Amino acid sequence: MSESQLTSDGNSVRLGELPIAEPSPDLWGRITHAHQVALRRARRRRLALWSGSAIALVAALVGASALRAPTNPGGEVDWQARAQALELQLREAATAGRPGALPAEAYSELVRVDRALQAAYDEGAEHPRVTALWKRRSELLNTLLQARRENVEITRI
Amino acid sequence: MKDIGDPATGFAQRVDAMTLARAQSGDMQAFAALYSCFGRPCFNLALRILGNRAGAEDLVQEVFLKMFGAIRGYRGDAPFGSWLKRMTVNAIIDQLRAQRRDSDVDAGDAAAAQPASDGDGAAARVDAWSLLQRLPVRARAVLVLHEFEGYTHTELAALFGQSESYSKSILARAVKRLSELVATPAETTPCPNRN
Repeated sequence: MSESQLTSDGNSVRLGELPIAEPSPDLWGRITHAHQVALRRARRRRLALWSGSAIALVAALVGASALRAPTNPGGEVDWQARAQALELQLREAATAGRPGALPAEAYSELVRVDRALQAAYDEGAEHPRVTALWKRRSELLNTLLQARRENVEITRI
Repeated sequence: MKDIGDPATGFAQRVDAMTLARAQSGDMQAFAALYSCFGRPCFNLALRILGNRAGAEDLVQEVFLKMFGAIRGYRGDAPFGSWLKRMTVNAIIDQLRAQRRDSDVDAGDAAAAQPASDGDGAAARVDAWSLLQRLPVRARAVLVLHEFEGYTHTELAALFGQSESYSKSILARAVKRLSELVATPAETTPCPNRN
């Protein structure tokens, strides 16, 4: 570049030639390395996104299918299947949203029902007693799930 | 932007369609060819404005990484060099915005504290690099882009998000400052650009 004459508002200055610099010889290597790192990160992000979506989809399908067929062949509600489906959904909601406070009473009662169920199976209890416990367990899980969903909605606001 | 065909910065180089097409399909050899054409112009433009090698090299890296992703959207409406120069200038201005407070105050103080030149007087040909580095960074950016890269005041106003009078006023002050520096004997600043 040749020298330049700069003029503005009555001031004038003549500048000599600006030197031409060379970037470091390893600059292109650094750029390609950074490009590879960025590509790997993008691939990992995509993979994580797809994996997360696939897991959520499977959980939703399992939950939906369990909730759609809660009755056994005799027409009776299958409270055990319903409780298991609700538990899956509760876990999914817990991983999707921020952990928040759950209703303490419902949670404590759930622990009590679990113990009672275990005792019923240990004692070889009759079907109606076991079914009643599974029904109660379903109701409690439903309460916890509702609470979790409300909590997630609140945190999103 | 007027095409001043500046051989020093080298953004006016032409790129063949095949290299562009290969780069658009992600071919790293084509990117290497683009770097061998435009790495140096990009570096020199950044160095002249930012004033340090490390910052200029970081900026070249940022621009080329961005270009890897953006080149698929390049439609050839403007020459490739102009397109890349625009990306470079935008990246420089983004960086100036990010460091605005420090750069304006510090460089301005440095300029006041270090009157310059090689002592040949106002009419003499002076060391352009040393003088430029004594200007506040924004003034240097406006001056380099207007005087050496051919940007109009309208384009500078748009780039900086300011009015044309802002750009004209910065340039007038920069030229005034340079003429004062030329008139005042002082030490020179070595160019940090040769390997």
